[in-house]
Amino acid sequence: MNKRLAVTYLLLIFLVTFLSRAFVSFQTDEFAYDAYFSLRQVESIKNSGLPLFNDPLSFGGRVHLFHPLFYYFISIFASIGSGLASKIIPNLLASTIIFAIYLLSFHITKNRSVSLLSSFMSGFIPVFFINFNDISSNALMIPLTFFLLYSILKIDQPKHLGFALLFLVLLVLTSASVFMVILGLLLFLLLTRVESLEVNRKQQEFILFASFLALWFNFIIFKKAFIMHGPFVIWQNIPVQILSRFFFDLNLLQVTYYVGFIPLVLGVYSIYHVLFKQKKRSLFLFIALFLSVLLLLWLKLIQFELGLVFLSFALVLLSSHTIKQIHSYFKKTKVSNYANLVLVGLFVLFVLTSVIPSFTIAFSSINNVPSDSEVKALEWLKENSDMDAVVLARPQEGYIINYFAERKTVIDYNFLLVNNVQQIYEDVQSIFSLRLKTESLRRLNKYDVDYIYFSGRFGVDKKLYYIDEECFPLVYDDEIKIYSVECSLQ
Amino acid sequence: MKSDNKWIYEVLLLVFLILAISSGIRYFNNDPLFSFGEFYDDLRISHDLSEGNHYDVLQSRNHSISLTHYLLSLISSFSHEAMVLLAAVLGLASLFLFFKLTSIFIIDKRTNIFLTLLFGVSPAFIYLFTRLNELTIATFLSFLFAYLFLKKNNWSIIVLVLLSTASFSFLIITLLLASIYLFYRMKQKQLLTLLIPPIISFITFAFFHTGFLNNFFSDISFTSFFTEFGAMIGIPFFYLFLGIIGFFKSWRRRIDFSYLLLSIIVILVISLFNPAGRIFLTAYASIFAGILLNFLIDRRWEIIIIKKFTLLLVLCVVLFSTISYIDMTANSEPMNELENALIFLKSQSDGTVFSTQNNGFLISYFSDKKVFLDDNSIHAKNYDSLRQDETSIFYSRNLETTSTLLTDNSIHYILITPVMKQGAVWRKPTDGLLFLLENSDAFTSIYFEDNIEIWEFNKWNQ
Repeated sequence: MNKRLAVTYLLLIFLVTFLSRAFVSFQTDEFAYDAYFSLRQVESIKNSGLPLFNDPLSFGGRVHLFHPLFYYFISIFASIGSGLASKIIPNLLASTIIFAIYLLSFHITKNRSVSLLSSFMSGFIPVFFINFNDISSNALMIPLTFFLLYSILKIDQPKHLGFALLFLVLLVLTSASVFMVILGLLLFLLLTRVESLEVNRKQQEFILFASFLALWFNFIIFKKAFIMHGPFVIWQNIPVQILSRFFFDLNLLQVTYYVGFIPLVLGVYSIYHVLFKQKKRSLFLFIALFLSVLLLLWLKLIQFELGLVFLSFALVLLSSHTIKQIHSYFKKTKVSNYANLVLVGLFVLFVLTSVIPSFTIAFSSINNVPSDSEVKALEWLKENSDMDAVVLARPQEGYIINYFAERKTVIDYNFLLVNNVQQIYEDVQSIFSLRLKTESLRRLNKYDVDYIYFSGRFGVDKKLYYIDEECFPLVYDDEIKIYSVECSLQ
Repeated sequence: MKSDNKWIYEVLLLVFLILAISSGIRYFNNDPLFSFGEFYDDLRISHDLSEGNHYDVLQSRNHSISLTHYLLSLISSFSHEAMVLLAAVLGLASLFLFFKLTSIFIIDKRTNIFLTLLFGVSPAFIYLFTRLNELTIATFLSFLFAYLFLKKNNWSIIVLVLLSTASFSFLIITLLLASIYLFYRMKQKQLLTLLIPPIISFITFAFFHTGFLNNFFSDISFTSFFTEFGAMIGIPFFYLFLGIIGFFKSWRRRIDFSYLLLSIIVILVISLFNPAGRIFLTAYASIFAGILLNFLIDRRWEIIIIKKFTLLLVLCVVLFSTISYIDMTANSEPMNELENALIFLKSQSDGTVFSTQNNGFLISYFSDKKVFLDDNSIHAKNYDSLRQDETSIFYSRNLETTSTLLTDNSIHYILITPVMKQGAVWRKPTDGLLFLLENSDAFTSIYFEDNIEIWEFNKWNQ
């Protein structure tokens, strides 16, 4: 295949990937519940030039710690509307992963057909479709990571050294997950030593510098959090009651479904082949990345979905080596004319085992957005409550109350730098299930709650048991119920 | 190229400037010169000692006395400025000894300059030599002993005897390091000569000074280990990080560095639960970080720009640790506002003052009043019960409960600082005691300035 045709195909794959993501994303006007935090950041940057590090609404007023680059990136395009930009830009960025995978795959295999198949596979990894409507910085961080790895592999060329430095700085400013990459790179150095492979001094120097930079920068950003939570920063101070929703045990069946059957099988075979048959230096980088992520997942030190995304892309790259092996093998046989059919066969298998699950996951995730009635209720709340009013809702609903109603909440899903988070979480959840009015009032008074927002969407309780007209008049009655808190305990 | 001696004098000058800046900020802000409360307790003890009192009349307990308090009592007439200067001079002498000591183990002069500089600008060093406390004197004596001991000078025994009366923790660590050295040099026979004099002097001193033998073990926590997490005597995270890389780099030359590589393991273990251990760990981390720094400069880099960036980053890391620690000490209590409040409290009639435990030493020193809890209360038999009472008083909104507890503990005054209202104790103005103070006649506000409040419990006026 000539270069020009490969580029055409690659652009086609990019378009297919981007349009697929955009198509699913535009099935709803809303975003996932978590996305409204990002939307507020984008709008804050758009209006004032600064993100909301000091948030007056979340947890009744608190400080946020995060890497701002991704929000700045989206806000550049916010002139077309924050909502529209937040739909398009993350999906566009996420789709660029196919270019990085193509380049890396070509670096490994020197075969354009195989590289194109790998890049297509990277565009339709099921787990990459789980949270695609939540405006997550992962959309920028993941492609940046693989572009960085490509530049590191080609660091001998001065042009790529410049790119590597640029990608590193951008990555450090985008996400704390850069540690995962650093760990992978350090393991790569260790593996090359253990396997007595030639150590590229330029790579070694760059990795040392990257480790210093990532560690120092994140230490500065999260210093307050470290002081407050110590090593629990790793688990983002998430209350133990819900920690298992983010960090959970590896399950082979689940991993196969989310990563995809083809990348998993071919990738694992590649690891075996590289470690025991044919040592190939560039592949050790992805083996190191795979092993470090696997270790972090096993120790529950990274969020399950993010870990799986990295695992998937590492496996896609490793599987390109196996695909090349298979392709080369058939080329040497009497049916060499049909060698490309093997690639077609793998493509069809991949569509059946990964593309279809990707769309299934994507379509199911668009149901996880606030309904029109929720938005209507929150807009009513915005019009009919004091600016300083405090609203109690489930943690999942915190961001949408901050965004649509612009009112203070007791809790949301960003727990970093929050004191007594277990207690707050327990108090809030208990208010939705308590039977005793006095106890509920005691807890509501504790957080100065003025309104209870009850959607019935989260949790098992379908009504509040202690409600009466005297203390909790129903001020908004539709699918969503909003109660005013009128009594207090002396 | 300058001679090595000239470089060390420049390092000493730089370190002196950093010590001066650290104290200078407090001086120009009109804040009391010494940050944190511990040193004010030392000053109070030395003052009592100069009057022949070994007993703390104010807090009704024995003073915990060491050699430092005797030395402080000799200079109790000195102004605080003179004490700061004396501490800085002692710091420079200690740093020079550190340089001389490391020169014995590490031949490369440039490495020695680097590691001396790293130790001199470390938070632990700044803490030690911007005051004159037990650890300051013990650090100096420990380095002096090590230097004389390695030079086979008999005066080392005298210094060790003095050290045995200065700090129990330092004595243990110094003896351990010296013992390892003797084993390492196959001179086990000298061990008894080394151990007997300090042990005798220690036992004698401890016999006449109850409280000298304080707890060697304290709680293991991140917040007391790393300065970035708020540790007063801790190690900067990046010193440890650079030190670990330097350690592995030195491993290649493990024959040359065998004593250092061996003894650091002991120091690492002790540092987990002992502040003196953390001072030694900072010194060791500086040594290995210095070795790493020299390696980074000497290494033949393939990418020069990465070399420049890496060295710049290391410089930023060290500067960041130093500056953030100086900032922390500059903004630590006691500040001018608290001093004024406590001087006002001094003019009031006698009575116990209730505040947070870490304000205890400051209240005793500046207001000359008994406190409900201070950091020495931890040794009291009823400490747990006192802490329970403290929690109840802080958080109860029941006037009867609070009044009973205040009466039972003879509390007359309540001191509230801004930090206490900003999350250290309460989150909201309507929380616990704050609610009662505002809404009950049982309390009278007698001082409210710069957001510092002093309330009097009226029961004692009835």
